[in-house]
Amino acid sequence: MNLDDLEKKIWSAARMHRPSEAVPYAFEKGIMARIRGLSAGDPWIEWGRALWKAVTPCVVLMLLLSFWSFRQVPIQQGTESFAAEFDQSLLGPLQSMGEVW
Amino acid sequence: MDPTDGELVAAVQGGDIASFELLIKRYQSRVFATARRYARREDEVEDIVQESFIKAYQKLHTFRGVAPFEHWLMRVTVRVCYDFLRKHQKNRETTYTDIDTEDTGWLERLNATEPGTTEHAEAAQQLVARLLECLSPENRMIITMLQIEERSLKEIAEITGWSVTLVKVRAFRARAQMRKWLEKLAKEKYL
Repeated sequence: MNLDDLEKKIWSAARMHRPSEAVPYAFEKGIMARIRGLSAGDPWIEWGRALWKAVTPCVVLMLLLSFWSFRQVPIQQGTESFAAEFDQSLLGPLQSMGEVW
Repeated sequence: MDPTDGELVAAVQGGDIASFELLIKRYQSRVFATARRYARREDEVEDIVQESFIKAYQKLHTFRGVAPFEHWLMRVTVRVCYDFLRKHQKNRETTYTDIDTEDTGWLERLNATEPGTTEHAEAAQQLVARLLECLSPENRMIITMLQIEERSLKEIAEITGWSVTLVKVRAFRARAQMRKWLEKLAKEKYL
């Protein structure tokens, strides 16, 4: 028996056999019922989706506010007053404690 | 006039779930036929088809309309079939030695019947089905698409998401494996 011929025979015969395209009655209704069940939604998934949607606007808002706050205070002046304010906020409570004692 | 696939997809993407039912009705027979290539039991076939459409619905937002919807859906279906084969491989592993005398009888029937007859086709189909069950899920999938569905390597790569090189290597190995088994079967029968 020629193996090549046998191989060709079985493949060409297997190709002739087409699987059935039969569909059970109202099968699509069952799928739609499941899909509607999925769409009714898990509240945690909805919450997660809403949070993800909020990411971009929050980042944009953050950038705008940062830009605005930089523009509000000139840098040099800001540095001096910042240093003074920082000292005051750190040492202020200690000074007032000293006064009390 | 019936809405086009693109119109239905757009409607579903816009929130009209009911339009998806029309898409299911349009393509469920093809999806069933594809699933029947990989599962024998009808309950498994129905599970595969349901899973395919549900995945298609969940991933519909990724459909860009570059390829026809049918091709996209078939890709989803083939991947579901592949997952099914992998999941059931452990439960139903068939080795070559499990091919019993009834299966080798198909080989005799194949040689005894005239090509083009129903009996001949049935015998070949049974033999091929048993041999395919012995292959790994990847090789089985590739051989089915290559030899039976007569798809090109490029199409198979697009459908499965594997590279063309990987498909070529797997196709070569799967063909070699099937040929080896066929040779062994023929020798056992005729020597």
